[in-house]
Amino acid sequence: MIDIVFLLIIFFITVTQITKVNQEKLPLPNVTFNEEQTVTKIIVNVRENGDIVVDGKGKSLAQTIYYLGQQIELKGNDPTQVRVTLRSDFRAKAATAKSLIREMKSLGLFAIQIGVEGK
Amino acid sequence: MRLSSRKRSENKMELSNTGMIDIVFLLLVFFLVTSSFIPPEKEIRPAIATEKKNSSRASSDFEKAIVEIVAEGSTFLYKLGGIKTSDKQELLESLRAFPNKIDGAFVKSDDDAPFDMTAQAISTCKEAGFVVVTFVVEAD
Repeated sequence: MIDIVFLLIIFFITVTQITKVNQEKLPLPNVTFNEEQTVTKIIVNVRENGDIVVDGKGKSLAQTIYYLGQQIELKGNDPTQVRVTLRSDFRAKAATAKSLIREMKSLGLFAIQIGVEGK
Repeated sequence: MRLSSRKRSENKMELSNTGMIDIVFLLLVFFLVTSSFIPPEKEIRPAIATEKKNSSRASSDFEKAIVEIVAEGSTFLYKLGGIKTSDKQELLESLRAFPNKIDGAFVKSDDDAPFDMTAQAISTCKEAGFVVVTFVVEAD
């Protein structure tokens, strides 16, 4: 019996996902056509009320852009080396996401990933 | 000096099976209680572009698939050419029937529209067969 119990423990340890601290618990848009998510270092979360959360800390739009600029600098000023995932609450107004995208574009980021739910 | 091997063997510790099983069961209960099965997160990858607020449309723009999310009273609708709908399926069918899929599709959203509609519009364009879907935002 102890063998089975040990097996069960190993199973749970293996399947348990460690919660990513940079991912806010947000209800994301549920879309039918989607792709497997690729892991990115930078995750920008937008709450329902439009608050921006990066690395578990609330940031203003200017602070977020400054942070993204720093990340680009760390990658040798090459924006193509920086991948950003935008996770927005499905109820949030598009305005915050649009402002973020506008500023990201000005930093030279041309492709973003939008976090969604779906099969 | 004489070392007593007998004394050493008497001092040997023995693992208590009862205690170990208790701990193992506790661990098992902990993992059973704390585990929650979350479906893996997915993504959509639109290209991004900016346009000037008062830019006049070139004639070729009318041939491109531009999905706009516009306010209609207190609600928001998807607008594709002359079609206005809140039904995602209707939007999908209109996009599928769109002849020009080479130039890609463009999604524009009202500031006050829910982000869900933007994501749905991008996803629907991809589902309709547009390889390149661009999320267009107004430049400052």
